[in-house]
Amino acid sequence: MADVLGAFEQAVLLSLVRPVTALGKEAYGRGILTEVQHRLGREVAAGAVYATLDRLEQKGLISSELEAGTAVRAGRPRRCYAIAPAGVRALNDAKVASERLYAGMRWPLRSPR
Amino acid sequence: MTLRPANDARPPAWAESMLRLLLPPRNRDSVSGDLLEEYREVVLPSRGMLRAKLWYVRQLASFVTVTSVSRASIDRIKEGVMFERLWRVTLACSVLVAAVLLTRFLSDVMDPVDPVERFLAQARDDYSELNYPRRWVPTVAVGAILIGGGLFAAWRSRRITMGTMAAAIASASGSVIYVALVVLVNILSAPLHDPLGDVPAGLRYFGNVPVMLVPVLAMLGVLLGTIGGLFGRAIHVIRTAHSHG
Repeated sequence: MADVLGAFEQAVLLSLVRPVTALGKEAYGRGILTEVQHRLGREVAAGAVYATLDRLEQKGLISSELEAGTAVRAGRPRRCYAIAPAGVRALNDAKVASERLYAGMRWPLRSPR
Repeated sequence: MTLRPANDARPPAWAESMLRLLLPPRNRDSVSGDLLEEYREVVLPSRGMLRAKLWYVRQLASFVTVTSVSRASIDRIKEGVMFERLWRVTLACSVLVAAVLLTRFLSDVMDPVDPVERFLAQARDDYSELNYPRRWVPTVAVGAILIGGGLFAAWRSRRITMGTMAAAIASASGSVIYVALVVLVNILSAPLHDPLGDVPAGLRYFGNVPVMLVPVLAMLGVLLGTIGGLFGRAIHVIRTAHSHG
């Protein structure tokens, strides 16, 4: 099994698997940022999302391609992302690892006395 | 006061430049485009100009990491090193340009073209520029030097802009050297001039010091260097394609 994904990496990958916001469905940087913010319920720094996207792409968990820009972006291209099969496997592994970690625990946890 | 429409609005220019500097080249356009889109479509209409600019600066701050700063510094150093490697070709071109221009100047001084002879030739209808090589040979030579310098610089650096830059600097500095040498020749030859002539001794050719040549040649350098740069880049691409089968 490869390195287990961090929580933020999982949020970014999940936003590519099943986006819920309209912008998130477009799967480019800005859409993913919106989707991650929605998923985590807090404002997220753009730099963190783009750094994570770069890292995930280097690991081969996602792929990207450029699409033509629009006037509102001054013609600058959009980089659209898609999850790779390895990314789906990594998410499954992360879920299994998390469940194994919590196995046998009674929920919700209580503070020890 | 009229507010600019949101679609035309721009975040602070310095922040955009800094953002592009911090990003790896492959993401420069896409990430800055994403932020510009968000700025224009969402942030500016909802927060107003000042708070929108602050938002952009905050986003910029989120890209400032040890990695991005060191990458940006390395990029700058690489550009410096690249130009460092190209300074020799730039210097050689500027010396050649100055030499060509000075040769033309000296040949005009030593052996001036008789305007009467040329007038008669024109009147006889057998006037041809080809009979006066000193009029066109230097122009062709300077053009060839600038295109060649631009080609070499772009070929070595794999960047067309380096060709443009090398030729522009070579043409500007070459013409400055030439102008300085013309002034020097005038000063040194001062005792040779007739003090009773209509022009003060030593200033005989000052009226013809071609100062305007500097900006004109610099612009020519940009144009020809870019042309040379395009050729240089093309040669590099073709050679790379050949070497990869």
